[in-house]
Amino acid sequence: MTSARLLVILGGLLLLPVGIGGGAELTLLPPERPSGTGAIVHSDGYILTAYHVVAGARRIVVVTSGEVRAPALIVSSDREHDLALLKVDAVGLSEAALGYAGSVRLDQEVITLGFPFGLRDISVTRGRIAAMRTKGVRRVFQVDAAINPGNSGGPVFNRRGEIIGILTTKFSHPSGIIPEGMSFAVPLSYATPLLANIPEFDFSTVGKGRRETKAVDKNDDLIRELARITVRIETVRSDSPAPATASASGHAKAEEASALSRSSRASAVLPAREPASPAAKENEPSAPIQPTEMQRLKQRGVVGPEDMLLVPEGEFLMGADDGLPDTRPVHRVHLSAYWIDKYEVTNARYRRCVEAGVCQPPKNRSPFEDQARDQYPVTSVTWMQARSYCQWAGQRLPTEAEWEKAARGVDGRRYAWGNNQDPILNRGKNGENQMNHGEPQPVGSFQEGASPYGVLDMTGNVWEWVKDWYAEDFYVVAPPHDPQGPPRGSFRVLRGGDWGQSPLELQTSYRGWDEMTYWGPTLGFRCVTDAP
Amino acid sequence: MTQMVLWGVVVWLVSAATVFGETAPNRGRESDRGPTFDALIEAEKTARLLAVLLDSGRAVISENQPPFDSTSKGRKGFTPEVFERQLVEVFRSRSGLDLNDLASARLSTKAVRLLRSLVSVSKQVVAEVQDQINRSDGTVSGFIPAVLGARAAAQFTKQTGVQLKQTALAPRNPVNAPDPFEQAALRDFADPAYPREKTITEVTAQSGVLHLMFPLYATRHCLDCHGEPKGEIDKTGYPKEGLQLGYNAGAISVVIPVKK
Repeated sequence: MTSARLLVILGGLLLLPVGIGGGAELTLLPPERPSGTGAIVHSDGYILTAYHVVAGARRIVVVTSGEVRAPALIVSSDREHDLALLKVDAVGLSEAALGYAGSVRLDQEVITLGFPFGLRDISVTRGRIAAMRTKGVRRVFQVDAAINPGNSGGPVFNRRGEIIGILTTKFSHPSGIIPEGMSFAVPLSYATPLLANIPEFDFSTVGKGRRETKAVDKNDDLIRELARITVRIETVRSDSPAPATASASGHAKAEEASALSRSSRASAVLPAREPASPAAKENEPSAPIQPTEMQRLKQRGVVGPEDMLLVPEGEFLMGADDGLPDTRPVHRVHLSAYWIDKYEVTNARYRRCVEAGVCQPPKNRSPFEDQARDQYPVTSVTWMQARSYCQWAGQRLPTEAEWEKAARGVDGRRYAWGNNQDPILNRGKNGENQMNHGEPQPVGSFQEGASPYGVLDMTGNVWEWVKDWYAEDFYVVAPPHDPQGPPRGSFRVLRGGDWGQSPLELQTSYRGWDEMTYWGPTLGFRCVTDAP
Repeated sequence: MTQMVLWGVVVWLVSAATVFGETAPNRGRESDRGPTFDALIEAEKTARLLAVLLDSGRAVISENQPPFDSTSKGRKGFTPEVFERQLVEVFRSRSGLDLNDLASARLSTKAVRLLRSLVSVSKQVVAEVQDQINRSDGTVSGFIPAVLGARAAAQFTKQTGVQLKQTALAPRNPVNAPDPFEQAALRDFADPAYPREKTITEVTAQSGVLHLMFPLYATRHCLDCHGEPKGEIDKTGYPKEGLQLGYNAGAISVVIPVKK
């Protein structure tokens, strides 16, 4: 009965031009290809799957057990834990019961359902929770059941038929061998932030068993029930060639791989005007909450200021234990949400403030007045000049903590792009390298150096003034929430370093400082503003 | 004499049995009786704190190294009490927990007991090396972070049944050689892209233990003996490893039983 109803609803949808790329483009897109499996977690059309199943997808189609196809959008995703929540335009679907991951026991029996190799027939596999593993930021259940490509993103059920995890391929066995006869599942508890995007989602039902309307005593009935809420997911990748230019499959495969490595660019939650970075692969965002937050703000009708990026509310690790004494101790700091300039303030932007009669020209006017340097960061400004500009723009200078969080995200990395020193050590070794110049480069030249939030030039280019007074021992006494720096001092903090600096000074935790009247050719700033 | 040894063995067996009375159970495949995910996360947290504590003790020794090695002064004043005070500070800054007030920390009683036990064995080691630290015969003390780590870990393992071990891909002390799981984790840690201070853990249905690897990073003091130039003989007579500041420098391995 339910499936008949579903057929009607989803069938009707197919007639509507609801493609992600818009109706006109739809006909030009290549056909969808099997990508993985998902599970219906809410009757209003919400589907939980693995992030990698839909990463970089230009078009996502969900296919139900009854072979009904419906286009889907990504509502929320968590790349770090490899989870994504999709939405199809439907109501009244059969939905899965969700289990409480915390009570999953080692060695307990589990059931997985999926569409191996993209086959149409659903496969049911039984296994046990053989291990729990943690590595870096990922924690998984190891299931000793044979899982094949195409099962990815599929649900893992306990014996009561509750989902307790989502199958992921984004975990490697410590042996380094591609596991055979085993698989890894992300515990369902990690999906909580995603599920919170479902309006009025009732978390109190989690772990309370399936909402059974009729007795399910026979095993076959249970499996049939589970099959109804397990769906196949097909996608068109953003880099897939259009049919007219379709090329050799080997080429297509490589492109697919690169599409996978690309972040959630296609997921409609990032500003469309953001240029695609060829080096996105090097910059695994460690702040998966950002797209979710931006989506939430967008739903509330809040659009960020131009060329500013959201740093969501939350904790991060500030300081470094292996750095200089003034960066110790590493401590947790909780910051309210704020927007930060994606780029350092440029000569062009600063000029508008000068022309408005508010800002004083930089102390050294020649680079500022050079029209060819419009997109270069404004330099030779004092702390007061920097502050005046931000105030004129209706913004403010970042606090030291805000600057550091925007630069390194929440995982305590050393440089905006990660922990690898090579980009610094290798600068100057090849002519095209943007980083070896005795002077600043146009803002955003070093795309590969984006921070976890996508902020550019946080490591290198120019030093940046921040609001705080400098005190060597401030971290010892710093308040844990929105620290504003010492109440008084003699010097203001400078962050980020220029490319003439050593790897140590270029660390996101390194604290430079100088008199607030100081200015120079490698000294600029950027602004922030509070997020609602 | 023999009696004393026997007593030692008995005391150890009893303490091991009372702390972790769980013996190898008959694992039937028919039941869902393993520990829960919540319990495993709690065990992982405990194991991580033990690693942080052992490493905090190492850091205290590292900070006090120059006075130990100085030959000009007889009594260095580095008593077990002084050590403990510094240990409490370092551990607080790294874990946010106050060792003097563990009761109010949200920890399992087992975790509290284990942490206290590790503090006490570490202090005991410092007490045992007082003569070595305070010698004034012009020789180098030889009391370095790794020595505290090794002796405290051995004593702790004996007392509690929870295994603590310092390990590295090419350890100086062959006793510290990594097992296959440890080796794999060390290779992951060695990748500069690996997130800092994030552990690698494994608990399998077969093993009945949670095995955690906590990465260590080279500090300035470490480099006196383990830094550049690689191969040069350091003050303890070993060739230097050529480590670089801030890079991975081995790990602390913790094996904690998880059976109910």
